[in-house]
Amino acid sequence: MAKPTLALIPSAIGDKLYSVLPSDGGGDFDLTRATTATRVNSQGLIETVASGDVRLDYPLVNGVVSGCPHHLIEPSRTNYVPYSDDFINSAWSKLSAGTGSTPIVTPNYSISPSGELDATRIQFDKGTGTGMTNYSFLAEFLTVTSGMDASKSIYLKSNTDSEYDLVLYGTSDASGTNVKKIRVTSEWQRFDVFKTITSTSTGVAFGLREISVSGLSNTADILAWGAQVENGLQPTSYIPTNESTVTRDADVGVPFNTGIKTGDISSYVNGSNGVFYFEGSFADFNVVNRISLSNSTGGFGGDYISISTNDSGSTEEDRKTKIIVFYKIETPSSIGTEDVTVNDARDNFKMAISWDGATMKGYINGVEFFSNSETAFGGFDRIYFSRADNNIAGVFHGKQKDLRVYDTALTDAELVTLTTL
Amino acid sequence: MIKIGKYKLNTKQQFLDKVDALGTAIDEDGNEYPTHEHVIVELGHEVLEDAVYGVNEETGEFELISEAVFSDKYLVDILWRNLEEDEDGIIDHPYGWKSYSVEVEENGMHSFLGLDYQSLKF
Repeated sequence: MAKPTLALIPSAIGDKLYSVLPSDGGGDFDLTRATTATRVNSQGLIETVASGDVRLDYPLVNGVVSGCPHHLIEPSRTNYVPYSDDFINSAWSKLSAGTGSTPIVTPNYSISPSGELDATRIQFDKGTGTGMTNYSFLAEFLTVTSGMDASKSIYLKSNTDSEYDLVLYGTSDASGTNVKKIRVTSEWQRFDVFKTITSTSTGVAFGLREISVSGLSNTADILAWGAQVENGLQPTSYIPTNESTVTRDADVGVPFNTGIKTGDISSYVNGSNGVFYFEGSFADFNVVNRISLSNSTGGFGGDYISISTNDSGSTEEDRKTKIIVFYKIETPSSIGTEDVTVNDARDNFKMAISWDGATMKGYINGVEFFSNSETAFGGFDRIYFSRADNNIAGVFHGKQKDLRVYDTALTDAELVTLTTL
Repeated sequence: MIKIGKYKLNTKQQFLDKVDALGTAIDEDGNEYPTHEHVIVELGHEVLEDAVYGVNEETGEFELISEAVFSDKYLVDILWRNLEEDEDGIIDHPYGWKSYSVEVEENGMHSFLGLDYQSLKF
């Protein structure tokens, strides 16, 4: 297989997304973020990254690092829980009724996902009673903007050799996607629920209360850390708080109202023959969310290839289960829109778009999903983590694990190999 | 250079008008987007009375008893980026915002991750 002319493989921390190829820095991407942020490091611990620095984030499976890192690129989010780790604080209500007992809360009891001794032990006992009126749980009630998409998340782990069945729910409406029966095991797990709220009251509650669920444990001895309520349907990286709500800035390009981008890469791209390859996942389905090989002088008017979320879907579920490729050949004018159904665009996928001046093809996860007769592109000179015009309204949010440009078309067999998971 | 400002505006509409004045444009799809570079966090209407939660004596269930009561005042935190110095080398609130700025102790009810308001305020 030919060697790529540009390869962005997460490998270094700094104020740029450093491309492995070309080695002269000509394929590096600018990035900035005004605040600090958190990531999962190579030891599997959540740590703070300095403002403006790239986040190499490692995937966790059952609490253990599994595989190579990705660049974590997120929107701005606010954690509305003012005491995200301080469960002993009176802001967290310790509630019990019926056969239940007030939860016993012991701060700084064990090692948290940050590697610090700041996980809180919580002992719940609802007794043998069932139903909503026999309970033992913790809740933090919040006043927020009405109509926001409220995601609630928390890290939990068993403090014993036993596993426990608890409930996690949003206090505004414990139904549907806003309530979940969860199994707390000997590994740290992040659990989440979500729902668009219709009032100014929300909050997060967890423990033993059979509200819209049943069959919970009668007692539980667990560790808790990192509660988060944010405006979005999926939780983003952890935002620690202490006495106030806290906002993490977005990962964007320079200037701030653009997407992350390269400088002039025209010498590494061939409009007549080539491949644009991306491995990663999307994380935001409420707005346009794209990554584009583009032409800075043309925007939507010039040559481009964009890999996009299904921003025209009518529901979030619809938007999550489809990925769209938009492309335009300026001369002679040809515009293409090709979509492919996926199980969940939040899952890692590999996609390659190939062109050779006669045929344009798309492959995802080892399977061809379109093949069109098309002439050559005029040329490209930028990669944008955004729309073809690098508008802030279309910036990419998600995980980028690999990004490549080849200046020659690959064979069908090579495209299958390249995109097979 | 970044600065943090905290503001209490008379109404939400006043806030929206002021944000529009910071700069917006319309893209090719007809969507409005900001052309400024600042991070704006809406804290919402000022809370006059907190929501009350408790056990409903009729049903015995734990629930929201009364919702919070708000004033018309609208609270906003802004992380300003790349504001220009005046001829005296001073960076001030953008035009029209200073009258609505408020002072708080420490970081107040909201902060930006890793940034200290007292060090970055105007």
